[in-house]
Amino acid sequence: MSNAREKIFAAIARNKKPMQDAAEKSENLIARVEVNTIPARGNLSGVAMVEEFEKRVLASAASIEYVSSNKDVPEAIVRYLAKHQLPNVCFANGKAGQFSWSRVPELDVRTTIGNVNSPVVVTEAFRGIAETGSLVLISQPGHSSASHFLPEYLIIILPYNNILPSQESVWEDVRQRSGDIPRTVNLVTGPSRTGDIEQKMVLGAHGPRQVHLVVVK
Amino acid sequence: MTETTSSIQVALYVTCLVDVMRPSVGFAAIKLLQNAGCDVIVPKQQTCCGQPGYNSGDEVAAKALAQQVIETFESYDYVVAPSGSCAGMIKDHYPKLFSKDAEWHSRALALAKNTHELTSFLVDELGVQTLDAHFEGSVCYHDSCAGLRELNVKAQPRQLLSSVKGLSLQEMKGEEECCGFGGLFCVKYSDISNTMVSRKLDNIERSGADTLLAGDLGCLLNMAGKMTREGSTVKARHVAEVLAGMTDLPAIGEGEG
Amino acid sequence: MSSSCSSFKQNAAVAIHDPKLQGALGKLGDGLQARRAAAVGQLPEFDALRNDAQRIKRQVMADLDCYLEQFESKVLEQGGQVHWASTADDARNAVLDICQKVGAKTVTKGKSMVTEELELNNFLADNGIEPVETDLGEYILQLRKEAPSHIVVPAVHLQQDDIAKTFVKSHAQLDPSRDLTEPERLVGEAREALRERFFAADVGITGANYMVAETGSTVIVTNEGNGDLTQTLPKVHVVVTTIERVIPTLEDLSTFLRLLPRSATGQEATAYVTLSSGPKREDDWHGPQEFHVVILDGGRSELLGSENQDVLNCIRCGACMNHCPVYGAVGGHAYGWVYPGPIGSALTPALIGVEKSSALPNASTFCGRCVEVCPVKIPLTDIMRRWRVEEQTKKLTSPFQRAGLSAWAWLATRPGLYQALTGLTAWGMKVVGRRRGGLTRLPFASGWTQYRNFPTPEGKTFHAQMKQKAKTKANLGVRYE
Ligand code: SF4
Repeated sequence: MSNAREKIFAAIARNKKPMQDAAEKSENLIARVEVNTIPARGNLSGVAMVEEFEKRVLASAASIEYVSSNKDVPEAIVRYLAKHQLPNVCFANGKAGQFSWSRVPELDVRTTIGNVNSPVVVTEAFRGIAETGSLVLISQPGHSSASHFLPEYLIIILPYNNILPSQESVWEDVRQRSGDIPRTVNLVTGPSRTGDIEQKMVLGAHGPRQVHLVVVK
Repeated sequence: MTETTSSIQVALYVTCLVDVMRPSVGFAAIKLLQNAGCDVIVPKQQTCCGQPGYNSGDEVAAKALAQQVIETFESYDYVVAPSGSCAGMIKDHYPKLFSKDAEWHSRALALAKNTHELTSFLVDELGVQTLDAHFEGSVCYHDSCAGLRELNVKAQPRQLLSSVKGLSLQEMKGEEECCGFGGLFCVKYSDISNTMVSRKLDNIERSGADTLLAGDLGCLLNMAGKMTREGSTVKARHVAEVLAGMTDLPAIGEGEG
Repeated sequence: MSSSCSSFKQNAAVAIHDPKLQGALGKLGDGLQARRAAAVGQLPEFDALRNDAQRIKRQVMADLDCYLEQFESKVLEQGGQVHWASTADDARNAVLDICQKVGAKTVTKGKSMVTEELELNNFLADNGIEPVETDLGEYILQLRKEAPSHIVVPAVHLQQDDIAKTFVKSHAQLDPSRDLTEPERLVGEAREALRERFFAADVGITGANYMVAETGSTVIVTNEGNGDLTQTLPKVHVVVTTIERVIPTLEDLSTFLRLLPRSATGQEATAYVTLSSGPKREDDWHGPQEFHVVILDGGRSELLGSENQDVLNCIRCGACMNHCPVYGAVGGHAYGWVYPGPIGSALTPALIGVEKSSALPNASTFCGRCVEVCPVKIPLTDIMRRWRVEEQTKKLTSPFQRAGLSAWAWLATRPGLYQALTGLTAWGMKVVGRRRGGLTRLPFASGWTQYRNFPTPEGKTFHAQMKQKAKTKANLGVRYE
């Protein structure tokens, strides 16, 4: 295999041609000279940004609600389950296990690894992206990335201040965290879907059929 | 002679298909250019632009013909062709053909700059907005690929058609879809070409228009040939014929009875 | 993968007369084409993004080795492994080796065209490892033992009732009279059928839309969620990809993520974009214990620095095939190798040789619709044309065609003779076809007259008329010189 590596790199070195109108090449290939276009809709701030976010979340066929504090999250979940006539059981992923679940004793909140394959999963998002209505979920200690793809219903909790205008602003924050990029970074935009049958979009392929977002102000 | 020093000198590149198949399109082009105040010249030495060879990978043949066209036409202010395909060949492809030959490349670029498709020349270069023409009927317009994508010919013919009295434009669905002509393609891949022109014909018929117009004779021969074979009642004409009010002769592919 | 590109014409003839296929292909216009147009229409910056993307790709290709090294070192730093594969054989063996080391019995697979290029499924099966395709389209095709006919929507050649029949036959434990008339039911049934397979798999294999050099991440862009289950549940995750997929930074990734879904399916964003970087971290509950990236060259490095280099910029969105009238007429299988449509016609000769595949770059009218929609502005028609030049230069074209073109050039560079001959031709055709307005048979052009009439010329050529007018001074005020 190392032989293959040598062969490939030799071929590349032999054949590659510098760009004709190459901009001044930076020492560090990663420190880029040119800046890519960010569409206007990814450059919003304040209320306009949040409105854009909500619009895009809804367009992705997810639902959204706002609560005023973390304390209100458990009741919001119970209301959601009731609305969809679901049993009062859910898996709370990682830090989502720390909401004040005792406020809703009727709800059976499971937090162990044996319960990741539950029909309802509650999880926390790292950030939200206004441009596309996407939620950024990252892998963390004591947290299951797979649980985001297994349930029928995925409920995502997002602090209001973590709504950012664009992916680019999320990457900034990812770099701010200490250490490497998390093993898994998921950008989730609405429920799972497929267009594989006669080009028609059908919701609920292998992942969640419904995604509900609870924004905490 | 109408030669005056102040008028715009335009050499007509009549194209080999118009020359052989439908000379009236050439005369229509002359009339449109003259009415717009141009001094029209038809260089005798013109034949084929070299596209058949170029698209078949025969660059030797293509270069020989391209050089002949460049030599024949480079001394004029403008070169105008009643075809997006041939104008596109000169404008878009000659410079590429000579990309490794500095002298011919710069001559090709210079010619490219002065070369235009007929309707875009009238509208974009001469600023013609309206024409004094009359045509009773409803038409649909097929956007030939080279004109559309290499030369941005889209609004210009429609702009001119909108001033033709008695004419109503009824767009077809998929007006930008290739008709399946493609030069030698239609002979080499005749099954596929036929599928494409059949779909085109469906769209033409469904538009409800009674005449099909386009700016390229190749596409028109293809579509007209299909329409007459299938017994369609839609007539095919080059857009220049309608714009110049020269629609007395039978439509393309129509018999004399 | 073995190819049948040289039988393109025959394949196409069959495809054209297959009403089911024609029905499926007929949906592209109001389906993927219309959806792309709507999505692009809603993003004014779309064209600026295309320019950015083209620049980024060209920048990468100019220093491809450096970006790959950077990517590799980042993967290693995070505890992953990189396997370089010069040929398809190398890549197959690398994957097999990884699977055998963990004693794998089944592997789940996300959608990956590169593994089609490797014919990996057959290879694994021959070695006693069961591959399970989990993308709905690929799953359907695996049940039917068919190859994908499209790079994004692999089963686009099928209609719903074809799929229903396949499911009735394959899911034999279910009631054969069940209702499968809604696509939702088919999707639900596949979901049920595959759920256990995800948990049981020892290895998960995915492709990569991108490798991000900055972070050592591989990225998949998907809608179903199968790719994520494939790469998070098994203990080993193998990414199979190719050298040209590397991009510099996360910001560059964002540019591509704005272009890809809009171009591919007309979505503003797909349901999932997932970045995988190394194996799972110590306290993560899920994620693989091993992370392998198999990077195939497979002939691509020879495109670098060539006139056709831009074909490496492809992001496999499928827009060129969705909009190609030839693809729309014959479907993907007719092309005879992994990549159909315009990108296939431009890329295949580079990877398997123009000798075996010259029918593909010839099967184009050069209408240019593919170039118009390509998100990275690959000059696909120019590249196809250059393959024709190579074919001509290597004398792979028919002697009849070569002689014909030379004769044409010889004649057309002699305007006097040319005009005399064209004059005669026009007159001759006129005499034969005048009454009906067209000829129904033409020597040398039966391909034309099989399906259409050949319109009759007016009579005298333009030049003949000009000459006459010049003589009689009725010259219309035109200089004929
Ligand atoms: S060539 Fe362009 S349009 Fe075709 S698949 Fe590649 S990126 Fe998409």
